Amino acid sequence: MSNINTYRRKFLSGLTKVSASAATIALAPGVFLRDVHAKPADQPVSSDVRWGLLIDTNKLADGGEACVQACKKEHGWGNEERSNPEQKAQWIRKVTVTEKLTKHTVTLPVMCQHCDTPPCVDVCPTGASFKRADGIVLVDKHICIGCRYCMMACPYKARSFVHEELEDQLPDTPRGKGTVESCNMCVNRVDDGKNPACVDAAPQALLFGDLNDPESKISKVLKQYGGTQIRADLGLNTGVRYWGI
Amino acid sequence: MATKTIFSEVKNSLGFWAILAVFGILVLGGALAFFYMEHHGHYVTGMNNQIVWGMPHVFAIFLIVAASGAANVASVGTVFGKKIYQPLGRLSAFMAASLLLGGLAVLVLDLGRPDRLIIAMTHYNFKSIFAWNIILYNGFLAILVVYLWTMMDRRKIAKALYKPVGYANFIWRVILTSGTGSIFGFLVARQYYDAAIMAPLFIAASYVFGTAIYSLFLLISFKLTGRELGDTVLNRLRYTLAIFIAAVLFFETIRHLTNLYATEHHGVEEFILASGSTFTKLFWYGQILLGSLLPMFLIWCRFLRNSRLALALAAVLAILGGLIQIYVILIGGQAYPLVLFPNAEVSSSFYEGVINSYSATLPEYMLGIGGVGLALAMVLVGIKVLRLLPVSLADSVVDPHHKKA
Amino acid sequence: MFSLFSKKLRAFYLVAMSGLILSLLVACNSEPPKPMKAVKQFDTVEKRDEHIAFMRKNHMDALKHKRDETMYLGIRTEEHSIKACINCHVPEKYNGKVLRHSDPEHFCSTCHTYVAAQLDCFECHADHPVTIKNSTADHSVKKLAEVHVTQLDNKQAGNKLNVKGETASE
Repeated sequence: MSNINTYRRKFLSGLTKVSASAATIALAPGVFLRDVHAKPADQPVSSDVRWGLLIDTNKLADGGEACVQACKKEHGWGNEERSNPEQKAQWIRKVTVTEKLTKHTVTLPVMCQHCDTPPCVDVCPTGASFKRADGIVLVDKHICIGCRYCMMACPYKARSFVHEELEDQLPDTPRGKGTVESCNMCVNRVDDGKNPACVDAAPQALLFGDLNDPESKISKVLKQYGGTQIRADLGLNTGVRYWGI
Repeated sequence: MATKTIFSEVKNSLGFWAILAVFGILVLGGALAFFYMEHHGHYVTGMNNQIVWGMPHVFAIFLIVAASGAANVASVGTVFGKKIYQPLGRLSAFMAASLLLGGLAVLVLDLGRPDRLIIAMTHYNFKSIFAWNIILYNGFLAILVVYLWTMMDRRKIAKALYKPVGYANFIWRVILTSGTGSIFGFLVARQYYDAAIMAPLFIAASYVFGTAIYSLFLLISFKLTGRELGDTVLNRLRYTLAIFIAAVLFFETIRHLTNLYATEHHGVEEFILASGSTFTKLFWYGQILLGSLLPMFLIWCRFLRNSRLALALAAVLAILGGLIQIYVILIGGQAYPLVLFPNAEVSSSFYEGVINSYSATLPEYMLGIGGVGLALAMVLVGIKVLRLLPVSLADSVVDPHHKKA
Repeated sequence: MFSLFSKKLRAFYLVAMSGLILSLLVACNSEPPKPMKAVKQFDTVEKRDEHIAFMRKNHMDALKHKRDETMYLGIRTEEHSIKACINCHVPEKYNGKVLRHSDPEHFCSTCHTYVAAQLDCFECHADHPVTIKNSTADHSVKKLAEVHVTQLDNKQAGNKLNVKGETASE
């Protein structure tokens, strides 16, 4: 009961940003509650929030394998029987990078980077590829015509095309033949106040939060230590940032 | 003095129906391929998450670009006032519409959800060059219909609109073909695209494909229908074809030279031009040698002056070279991996850092060729039902300055 | 001279055609087949009838607009959830097997097959309820059934503060 009153209080106080101290209760040293509560189901998302992800590759012992498996389990991709390996969907993958001069090797998970100015959104002829107000880039599969132009446009190869008829889709992740899909930052979980599956699979290395809230954990650490974008030169201002690449 | 050109429909003959039947079979094959692909899903094709656009798109883009160029023959007559081209205008406009429809058919039928075409026509993201292309293609069709009417109707209003609509056609085509080239030119992600020159390159290429197809069709149709075709008209088409091929070579040279200057693009240029991959062979032997240098030689060689066989061969080679050019641009550009981490070697389970391979499957070929069949079948029906072909294009008839020998 | 369209024969044709049409009309049963009973029932008959009347008239309209509200605005009330529809109308198992939209007894397929209107939803959406053991996401029918369908009180579900530990990584 008290949880509902807390929310209503916040809401009625004029929607001014409540500092994290009101909502953040330290349960134990170093353990924090999620800064932003689940929005009520009947409220639209707003651009007051911009969801972001921070991936610390130094802390990923398996290079992100657990994240990939968690994502697969959460959304049910990757098991398309009739598709050959190059046609199977892949929403997140582990990439091993070895710099040519230094021979330094890093392994990191790469998924849709949820850019601020996504090329996939620019090129979609019907507007099916879109950026939600809170920064999550999604495919509206109701109007996706399957032209795959967004797949041509994405610099991160984040998108996959479904090459066969699918059955027994998971109820929270609709996906179907002839449409394009990609990491949706577990939008169904985020709207429910949870973390994306990859974050929960590797909580020591992945941090999820509101980039627009200067008091959020992710904003504070990014301010202090910075965060690298993949292909920063493209100027896409990605929502996914990395440490250690 | 140039007499008024007389046009007539092609007469009924067994040969006509036989050729139409052949194209009909190609169309049927395309339809079967479509049903097969749509029913099972794209896993039956060679396209995958690395090579997302494949053989059907090669044909579709070729046909659409050729359509723009085919309409150019009419433009030379209308916009540039060359009287010799004016009798050629009707066939030019009609052929352009047919080629466009053939290409669009392949493009639409390859969509993951072709049943959502209505959505594509009613939901527009105006930042997308693809969406603009949909509008441009439909507008082009409308202009061609009106253009054809201005050329065929004898009323004053039709004659009065001939020039304005001709200008509209020309300008629209420049925008349309630039748009088609920009589908690739606007993609920042890919090393082989992301270049402003794609637009003018496609315009020049459109003139090559369109003039080649038009010349070939004129030669064959006049031969088979027993109509006279003089050297004056043919030589005009012949030499413009060579000039357009030279223009394409120019744009390709600039494009590759610029890429070669920038270290960033050395990888993809090495892959296409020097690596010895399929694309290297296709580019040098297919596009440059067979598709550009040999046709120019066949056209400009003094020894082969006025030779119809040389022109026909040059046209065929230019068409083949054009298909190969689109293939190298489309497939080659996708085969080269996306560079997420410059100066690094990458590997992943999603085919990072490797040259992607592609081999088209039969349904893809059938769909693409079905589009070609559809376009040609439509032209064939057009010349039979409408008065598109001039009765004679002999020198004495077309050339206003022709002196009787 | 004998003609197929003589006055006498025209009269005969008229009678024959009318008779044929009438008999066809009588023989045809124009009542659509009854869809299967929902898994979860309303509290009162009035609420049920209201729901049926509303859906008969508006279900496509509702589906089309509510889906946009969910996709673009993130509004996820019970009314906006096709999962909620499925959880009420489709049993987890029917005669021992999983009921899919390709089966004629599936709630949606009953009418859609009858009127030959393509069911596009289940190209992507799950057509039956799914309970996954040990899953981080909660797909269970039971969970949703706990939310009283007549209340549509999502503030309850939405305001649950999720106490998930989040390690600071520094």
